[in-house]
Amino acid sequence: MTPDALALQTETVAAWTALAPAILLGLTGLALLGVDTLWPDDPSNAVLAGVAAAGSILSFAVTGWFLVAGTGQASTGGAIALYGDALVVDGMSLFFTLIFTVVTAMVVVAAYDYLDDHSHRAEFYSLTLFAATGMAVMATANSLATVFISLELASLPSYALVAFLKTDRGSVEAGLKYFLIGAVSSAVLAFGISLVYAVTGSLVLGDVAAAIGTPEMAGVLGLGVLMILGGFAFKTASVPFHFWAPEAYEGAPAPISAFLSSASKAAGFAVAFRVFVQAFPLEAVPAGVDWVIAFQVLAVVTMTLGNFAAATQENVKRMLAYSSIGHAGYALIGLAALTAGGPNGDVLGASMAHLLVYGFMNTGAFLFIALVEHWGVGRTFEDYNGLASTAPIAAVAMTVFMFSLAGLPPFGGFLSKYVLFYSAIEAGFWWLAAVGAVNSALSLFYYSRVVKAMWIETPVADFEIESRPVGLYTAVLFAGVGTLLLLPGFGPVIETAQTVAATLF
Amino acid sequence: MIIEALIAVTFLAALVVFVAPNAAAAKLAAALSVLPVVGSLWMWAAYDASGNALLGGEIAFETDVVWLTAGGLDLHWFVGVDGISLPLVVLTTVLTTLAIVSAWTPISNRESQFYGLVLLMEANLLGVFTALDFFAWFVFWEAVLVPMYFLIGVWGGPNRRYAAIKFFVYTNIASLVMFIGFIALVFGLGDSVTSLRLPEIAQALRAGELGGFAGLDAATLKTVAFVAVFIGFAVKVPVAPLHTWLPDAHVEAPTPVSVLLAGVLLKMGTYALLRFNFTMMPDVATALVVPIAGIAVISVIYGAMLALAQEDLKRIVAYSSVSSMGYVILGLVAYTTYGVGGATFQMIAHGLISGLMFMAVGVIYNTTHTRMVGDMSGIADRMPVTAGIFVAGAFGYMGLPLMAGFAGEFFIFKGSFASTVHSAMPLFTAAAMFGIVIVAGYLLFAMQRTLFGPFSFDDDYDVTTAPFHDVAPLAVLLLLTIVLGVAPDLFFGMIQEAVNPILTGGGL
Amino acid sequence: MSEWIAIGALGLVAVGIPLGMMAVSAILRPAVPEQGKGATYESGEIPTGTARVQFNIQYYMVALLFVVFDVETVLIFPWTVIYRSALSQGVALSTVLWPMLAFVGILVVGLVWAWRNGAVEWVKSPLANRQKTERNA
Repeated sequence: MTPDALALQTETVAAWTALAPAILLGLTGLALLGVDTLWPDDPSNAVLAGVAAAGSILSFAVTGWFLVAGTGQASTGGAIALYGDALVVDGMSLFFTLIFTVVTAMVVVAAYDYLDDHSHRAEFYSLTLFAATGMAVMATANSLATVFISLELASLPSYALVAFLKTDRGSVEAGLKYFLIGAVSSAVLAFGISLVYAVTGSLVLGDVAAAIGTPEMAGVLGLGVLMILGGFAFKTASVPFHFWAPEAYEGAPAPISAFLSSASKAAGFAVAFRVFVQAFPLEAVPAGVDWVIAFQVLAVVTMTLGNFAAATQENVKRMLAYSSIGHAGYALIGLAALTAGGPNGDVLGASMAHLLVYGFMNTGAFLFIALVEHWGVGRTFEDYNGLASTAPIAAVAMTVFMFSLAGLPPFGGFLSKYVLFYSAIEAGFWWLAAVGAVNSALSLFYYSRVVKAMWIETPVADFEIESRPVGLYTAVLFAGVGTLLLLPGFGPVIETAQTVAATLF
Repeated sequence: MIIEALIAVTFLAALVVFVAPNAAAAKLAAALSVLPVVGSLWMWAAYDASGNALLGGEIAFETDVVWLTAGGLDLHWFVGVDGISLPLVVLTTVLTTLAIVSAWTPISNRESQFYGLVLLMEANLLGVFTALDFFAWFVFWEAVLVPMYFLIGVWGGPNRRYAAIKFFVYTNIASLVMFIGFIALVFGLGDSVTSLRLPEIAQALRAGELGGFAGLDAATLKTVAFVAVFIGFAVKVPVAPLHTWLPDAHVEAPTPVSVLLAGVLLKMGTYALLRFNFTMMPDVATALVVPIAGIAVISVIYGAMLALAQEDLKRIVAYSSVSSMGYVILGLVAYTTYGVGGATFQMIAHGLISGLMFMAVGVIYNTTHTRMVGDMSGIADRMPVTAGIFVAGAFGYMGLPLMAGFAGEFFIFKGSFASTVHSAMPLFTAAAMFGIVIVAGYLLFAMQRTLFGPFSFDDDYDVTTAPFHDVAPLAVLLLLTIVLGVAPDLFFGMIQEAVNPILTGGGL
Repeated sequence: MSEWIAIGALGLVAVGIPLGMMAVSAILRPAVPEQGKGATYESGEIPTGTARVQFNIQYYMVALLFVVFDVETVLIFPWTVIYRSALSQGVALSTVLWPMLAFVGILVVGLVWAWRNGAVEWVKSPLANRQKTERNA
């Protein structure tokens, strides 16, 4: 087959098939409900996890195939717009879907062991898949209406998933807190969308951009943009809507913490990138609506606050939650370093590539926590003392995640941060890169505490580790190998990301 | 491809050893570590290039492929060696094998992890000395720190946690400073470079194509970047006053790790100083000759004085390293063929001799379980061979002719006396020479009290002859020291060919 | 100016009518105080207990399922209105029919799942089952 034949814009294949990754995720969710319908009393954990993993891996494969074949990209005729421009499939949406699907696959594989002694497994897997469907749609949303609906589709299952351990006070509290802040920020987002609609008279991003130039009611537009920004800040766990993140990540089952902090965050960025770049292009917005400055403030505050808060934690999971806020700050550079006519594709692409690498290393780190919770080891740094002597392989993987998150050179996280900061300097924001670099150096302190506890400290008590859960180990090691391979293999990733990002401008 | 093969084989060896059972790890690691030794010796034998790799000279065993493109700058996988880096590659492989053998006695827990980390570090060290793209080089440079952190932190002495964290934090902050300084330079070069390949950057800098960046004009930027990069590497060397991590790290580290730390890791700092500061920005280096030579002399004298005041044998050798590295800096800033070439040769010589000294202290410690000078005397009575090698090594340190230390120091002094970069260079050289006197003072004094005199030992340990596998690496190192002392041209020829291009052009 | 007068007048009337009615009834009605008149009116039933009781969770289940069908109706209704005219104007059957079939299909999967998992069974809590068995025994 020639690349042209694969391209879905040719007459041979219907255009809606470009949505195949999202559709596959949704169908997998329904299939899981089907399994639970057939055996409502005791659905086999293996069957459920197998179906969920197969579905997400299949979706991953299709996304990767589309990305390689050039679906929705410049080589085959550009973005595919569907349903009256409400959805659009292009390189960026596929790139982000790649992140969601691979994280989902890791999470469901890990959940196989984590859910061993829980009931309501089918609900867990299907909610995860439905949330992933919502994220995949978020990446393609090209109208403020689909943005809102897909964001809710991703959020609602997440609320339930956070509160999944319903006999655990922390989990229920986290779920409630997440839900309440989510509801508030959804309201803010909807209000912002309505204000933008009032000014521009359209919800489709392209039409919004076309109508935005008239300075009439620039104040209302500015308020609307600011409120939309607030709504996205919730999804990406950025300041000022970050309060839910530490509680939710700490209280939720660890695989769900991984899912939320990697995939859900990336989804928030996907939709934020598209909305701000396409609906409010810098060349067109009136002078009072300079959202880049807002993102600069957010980026600096988010990364600094996240890092400093992480440095003071005693609980490893909570430390990772704050570090995840810090990383949201780095990714925000993708929007904060944009300029009219600058190297915007490079900046945005670097941020996307960072989110991909982050998807691997952060998911891996949370899944390692899941492994530790599975063993019944405590949650503080002290409880991790000497863990490496009992579980060296997993400890090596965790060490890789920690050093990669800190941005030490031999791992994928370093390259992505380097390219991100480099592109910020290239765009003229060297101070933004400097703040990022200082924060990054600071982060080494708290990440290395985990490593130090595992390898160097002597254990307080003997660990009683009887099992080597296959699923959790597979997922953790997969993430670890991914983090390592993204160092030599970063070339295609960054090139793809920057190419597809450049087409947005 | 030989370089990739060398690095890959070492990485694989690290993996194999890491998963091997503890009981077999020591012998397996030693056997596998012979492979890179053979490879590097083959490279040395087959080496047939001349000139400096950074300045348009031939690059031996070169590979250059694009790794990735980000923001207009290509990152390459670009490796190769010239007369400066090849001797260091040989030093790394040889010293690692010997360090592994010397670890058989002292390391008795989590062996497979220990030897795996040592081999992992060796692989990254080889990368540091062969990478010619800044990015690849930096990746290896930082990757060396990680295994070192664990080697000190897990297998070190009682205060190991403090020492490991101190080492890690010091060197990482230094790397960050250096990285920022260098990247600022690259931005200042603007469109005149298209990749981060070191030769390209070095030649553009020497051709004066630097522009301003971040509000600094070209000259200021160059000076600021030079200082930032210098500080970054000076921590690693280390020079006074940035040396305070070194004694802690050395004292807490187990002997084999000390050997590698002093023998190879410190050379990373001087190697990088030579490659970056002194090769790329000779005009700034010569403008700053007084502060740099001053720091060098202070390191020599102050390090030696500190060594004189120590009671712990390992601390004595550790501080003497600070002193010896001062000579290297002095030789580098002299900008004469003997000065810079001698400094490079001294890196090798010091690598061998300091390794020998640390190992000898380790062998004594293995039987006596103490390193305190006051706790023992007359050890030579019970451990004649070890003591003999110890004495020979110490004389090498003091610069006995026909040993490698003499050749290195002699070249440096010859070069820096003849230096024309500043009229005060002979004065600095003369001041630094006093260091040799102090070295002789503390080494002779320490040996006299521990090795000679009537045998007395406070503790109950049975002080007997060291096992063969403890002494053998010592003997090998001593042999190499003498060989290089008798025939420095084994390395010095290729070093000089690589050094000479640095000394002309580029604002000198 | 004039529109504001109209709005003000409307507000006055809106407040005035209820106030007036309450005033008139207070003047006209006979005053017979009685205890029962203070009780909450609940369709003629005598109220028992407080309002702060725990409802059975099944109420919420049923309410949720009801919302699903409610929304379904909202979406199906406009579809049925345009269905015939769309077909007669030459839109392909698949374009008109398939989206609604998919929509209903998804709802059916959810409903069947909920049914099989006991959402519409009135009592399905383990505690209640145990109590029932104990009573029977």
